[in-house]
Amino acid sequence: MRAEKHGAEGGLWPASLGWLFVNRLQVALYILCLPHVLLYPYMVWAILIVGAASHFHLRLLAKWLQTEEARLGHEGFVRLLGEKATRVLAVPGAIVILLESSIVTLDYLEITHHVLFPSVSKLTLLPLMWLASCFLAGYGMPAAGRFVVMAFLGSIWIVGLFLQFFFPPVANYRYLLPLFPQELHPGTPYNLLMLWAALSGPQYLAFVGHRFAPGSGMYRWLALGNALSVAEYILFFLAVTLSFGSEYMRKLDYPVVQLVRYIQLPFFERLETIVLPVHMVLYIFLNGFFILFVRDALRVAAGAARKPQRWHWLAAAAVLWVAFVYVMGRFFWATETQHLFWIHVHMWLAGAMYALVPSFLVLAAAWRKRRSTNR
Amino acid sequence: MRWLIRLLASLRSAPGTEEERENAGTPARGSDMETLKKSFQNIHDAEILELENERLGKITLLYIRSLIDINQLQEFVIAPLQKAAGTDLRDTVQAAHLSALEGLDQAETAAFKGAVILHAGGRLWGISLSSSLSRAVEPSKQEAVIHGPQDSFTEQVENNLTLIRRRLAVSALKSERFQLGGLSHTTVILLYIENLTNPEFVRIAREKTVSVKSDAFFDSSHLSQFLEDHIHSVFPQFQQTDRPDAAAAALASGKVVWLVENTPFALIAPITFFDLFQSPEDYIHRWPVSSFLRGLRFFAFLFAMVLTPFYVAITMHHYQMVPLDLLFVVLESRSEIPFNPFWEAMFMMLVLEILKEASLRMPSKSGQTLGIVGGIVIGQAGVEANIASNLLIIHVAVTAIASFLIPNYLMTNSSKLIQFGLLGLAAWLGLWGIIIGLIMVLIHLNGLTSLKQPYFAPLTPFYGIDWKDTILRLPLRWMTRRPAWLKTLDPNRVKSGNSHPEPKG
Amino acid sequence: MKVVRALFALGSALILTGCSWLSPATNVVEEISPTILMYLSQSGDSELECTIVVPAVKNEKKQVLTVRGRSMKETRLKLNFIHNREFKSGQMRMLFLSEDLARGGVIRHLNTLLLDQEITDRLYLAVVRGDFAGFLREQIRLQKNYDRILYKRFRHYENQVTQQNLHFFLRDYYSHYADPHLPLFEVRDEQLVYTGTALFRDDRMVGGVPEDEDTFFQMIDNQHGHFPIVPFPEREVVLGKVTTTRKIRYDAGRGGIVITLRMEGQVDEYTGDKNLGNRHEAEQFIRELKEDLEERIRELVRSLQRMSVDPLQAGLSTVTPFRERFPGEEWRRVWPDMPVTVRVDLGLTNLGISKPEE
Repeated sequence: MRAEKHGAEGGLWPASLGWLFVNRLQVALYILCLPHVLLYPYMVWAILIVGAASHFHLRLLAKWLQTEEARLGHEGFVRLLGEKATRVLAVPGAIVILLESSIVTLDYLEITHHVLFPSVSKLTLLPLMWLASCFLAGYGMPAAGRFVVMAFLGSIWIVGLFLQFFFPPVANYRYLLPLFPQELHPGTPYNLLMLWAALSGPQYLAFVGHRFAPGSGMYRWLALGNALSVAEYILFFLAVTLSFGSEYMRKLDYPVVQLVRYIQLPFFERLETIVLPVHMVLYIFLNGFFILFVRDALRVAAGAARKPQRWHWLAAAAVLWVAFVYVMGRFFWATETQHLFWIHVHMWLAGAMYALVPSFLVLAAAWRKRRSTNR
Repeated sequence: MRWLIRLLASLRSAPGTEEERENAGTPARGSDMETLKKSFQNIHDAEILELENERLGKITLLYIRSLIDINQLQEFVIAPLQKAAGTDLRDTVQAAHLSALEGLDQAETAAFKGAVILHAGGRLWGISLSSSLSRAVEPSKQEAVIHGPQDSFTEQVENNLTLIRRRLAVSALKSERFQLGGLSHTTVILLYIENLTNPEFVRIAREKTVSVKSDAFFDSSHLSQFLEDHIHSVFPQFQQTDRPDAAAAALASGKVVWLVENTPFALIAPITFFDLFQSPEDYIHRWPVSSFLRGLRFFAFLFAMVLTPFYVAITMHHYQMVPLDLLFVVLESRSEIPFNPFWEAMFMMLVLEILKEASLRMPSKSGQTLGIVGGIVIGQAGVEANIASNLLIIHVAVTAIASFLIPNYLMTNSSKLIQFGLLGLAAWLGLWGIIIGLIMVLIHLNGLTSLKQPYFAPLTPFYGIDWKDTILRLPLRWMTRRPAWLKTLDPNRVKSGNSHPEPKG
Repeated sequence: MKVVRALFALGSALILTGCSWLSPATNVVEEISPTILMYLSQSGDSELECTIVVPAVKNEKKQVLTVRGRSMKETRLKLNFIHNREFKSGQMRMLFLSEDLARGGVIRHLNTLLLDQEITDRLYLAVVRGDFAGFLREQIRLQKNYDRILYKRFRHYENQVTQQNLHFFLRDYYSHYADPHLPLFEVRDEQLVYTGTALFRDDRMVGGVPEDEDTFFQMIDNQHGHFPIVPFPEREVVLGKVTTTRKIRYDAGRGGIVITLRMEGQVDEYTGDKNLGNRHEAEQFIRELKEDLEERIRELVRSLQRMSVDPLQAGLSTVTPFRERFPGEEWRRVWPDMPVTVRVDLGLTNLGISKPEE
């Protein structure tokens, strides 16, 4: 990877960091819950198809990131949409971010509560995660962006543990059949939508375009990240299918977690007590990142975007975030039905954001350019 | 009342106004000399010598006897002065360090730096004749190597500079001198290689050094605490070394070095977390061996931090992780201990820390006894009295030994503190707590800076090429570029025409 | 300022958690009894009897405790009440089921085990015939570590005897194309004897593979196997160091299952009359052995079909990349009448004599 050109404090991220961002943003929630939604072995092709679609969609994102407006950050958005529109749009933007990140966090806490700490409410574990995310957010966006390398390294090795499930006797290759079905099961459209939502996440990079070091070639890094996410999804899906088979998988809540509990290393068993906490580094990174987004959204909405940053914006964002998550977790996440409801909400929301945000921005930039050249 | 009179008197005889200053040498008035003499009152080793010479006139010598070399004074100053032939002082005195002084403050400082103040022909001069009282150059006790250079820095900053200049024989090695500290007037020399070191680092280093405000510095670590970016972190942001080869290697990579007077430890910055695990011996061993040893150090650091908390987490929360045979051993060993694993571990770790601290201050004659009493007797008796389980004693002992694998002395103690924190988290939330504690440490390391450069390079930000010399130590032949994270102006180590073989005579 | 911020954060964090429990239920290892062996049996009509070996430390005596209840979890609760320490199932490694219980249906209990997050999926299951609880009590009195010894016995063997854990059992249970099977033990003459494989249709035990057929069952059940000793008493020969590879496929043309078994080994002991040094006699001998094997395996598969169980997962071989030939419950219907062809390739590297005659 090429080195940064500037010093640490005002550090810009190299474009090559893009693939880590994309990969980790995409993998967040769905790596745990995707296999048992997809169920049938032929859905592997669905992953590939939707992955390819996402691959091309990232071109739009890369195009946006190369425009001048993206490079300018807040100024760019003001130029594009107007001062008022930017301020007004910041509010639903903040709400979308809060919703998405709280669903993701609560889902993870739910799993931790279920598997590791049945006697501790998931809301007791929340403050620690929140503190860690605030700690990360407190170092600012450049440092938070650097942390993606740690988030990546901290969670990618889990993939290595799953390789043992590709070999007999645990794996039964016949569970992969039928691979080319003659008729698809009725839930296929829903699954495709979920896959699209599973690959969402990179749209947030559209708002931090000014943090990347200038230079072309953003698309190949985004595409690389996307390819890696698709590979990860396929790998986990295959590992689960080979080990469980579709019928058994249907009966389990979280086959991926169940499989983690089945891992055996020479001196170590019951690795879920290590793997689940280590996976948390990904969520802490995402939440820190999102808290910073909420802070910026608050500043934009309040019209203080141009004034120098002061610590109380971050405190406000952090408190808002944790209050949102707490309220949602305490009052709206009690039963399994509600849990499923929120996953649906996330699916629709994330899918829509991923599809709309880059397209809208590129169109707006193109329209503005045409307008300014016509003048 | 008397002090007020003295103060007013000193104010009245303050140095002259602007118009009376000249370029070379202040035309000193007789009253200046009187002021100087007054400020040297009650200093019993301050001596004033008055000489008469037909050509040069009255010469007053002022010096602090304990700071200068008396023999040199006699030979190179007093004798020539007495036999002075010319009218210019510069021809007479055969000392190399004759310099004109501007102002009384400079004269006073110079006197206390081992100069002889000459007042002659209406001017103030200073001759540097510092006493050569110093330690001989000895092998380093803190960073001893078996093979490799055995010299180390001493408390004399000019000698230290000699040791470095001998290793980097280029004019590009620049040295800037600062004097810091209102009372100590410590000489600090900033070293860097021009056209190599990123000028940004030099600028930041210079600015930080100049802005240091305190009255006395007795060690480079005192100075580093004024220069560092994050004062509350447990991780050192400067590297301290008393090995000239380490300092020279740092300079050659593109770092900045501070040499501080009266301490043999030089400061090096910017550093990363991974630099603290490197030892000069790494470049002496064969490269697979060094790579293995470096990996072992990292592993030992993590191991030392995490082992006892891991034990506490497993025995308190995650009994299902224990392999079956070990489970029965743990059950047996813990069955009669009256304490929680957490309190047991805390107690034993505190005892170990007390032993370690005590052994530092113990006179060497009783040190060995303490080792036996503390280590063996307390441990054994503790197990037999069922205060601690033998598994835990093993863990604590292994942790203690593993923590000394880290070359950097300050880091040893940092990991201890983190260990206590992780212990508390382990007791509360088991492995989840340990992991979140480790994540917080990682977040902290990610945000730390050393001389405003990221502390956790080359991991975050990621510089792939630098991994040749981080955990692995690949062959020196393959390290053709300087560390990328240092953003040097000249990244290539290897250039054609680097060495100039001597022509055959 | 930073300190104030940190305290503010911590304070708000603690307040926000409300009244939820701050500290998890500790499983401090000296305050719990992690049992590694459990035995479930039927007592009376609908009551469940649960027997546990209590791990003892230092001066305690090792005990075997038995309680009755309507459900597994109820028995666990009762066990907690009769013992000083709380029982924890996190280290449970072996679950023995009595034959009556197995014949009555076990999925209820296994489902409970599956849902319990503390219990690992690598739990070994076995069916026991006889008074296992009494046997355990006696053995624990004689050898304190009997439960660990049993566990090591389970861990040691690979493919020579049936060895199933919860994961594989449930996988076979839920699959349309397979039926689960478990090792069958019997308490005989104060020993725990391995007496073959217990066969299940869904979750009820319907029969077993007897001891003398069990090795052949292992050969066709596992894709690769290694058997140090395979005796053929009728043929007066003992084969040694036998490695087997089996392939099961569905022959669409003939509409039947074909089982191909490749066996390689050597003759360890021969007590018959033939002169194995003579090439003709050796070939005849091998041919006869091969036919014998094929017949035995065919008979074994037929007995499986009669019981309408498919522990070999033969049904999976009928699935093509494009479709399932017998979806849903079809396979269960079709399997008993499915023609099965067995082919054995026997390769004997050494016929048990020093040097063959020319």
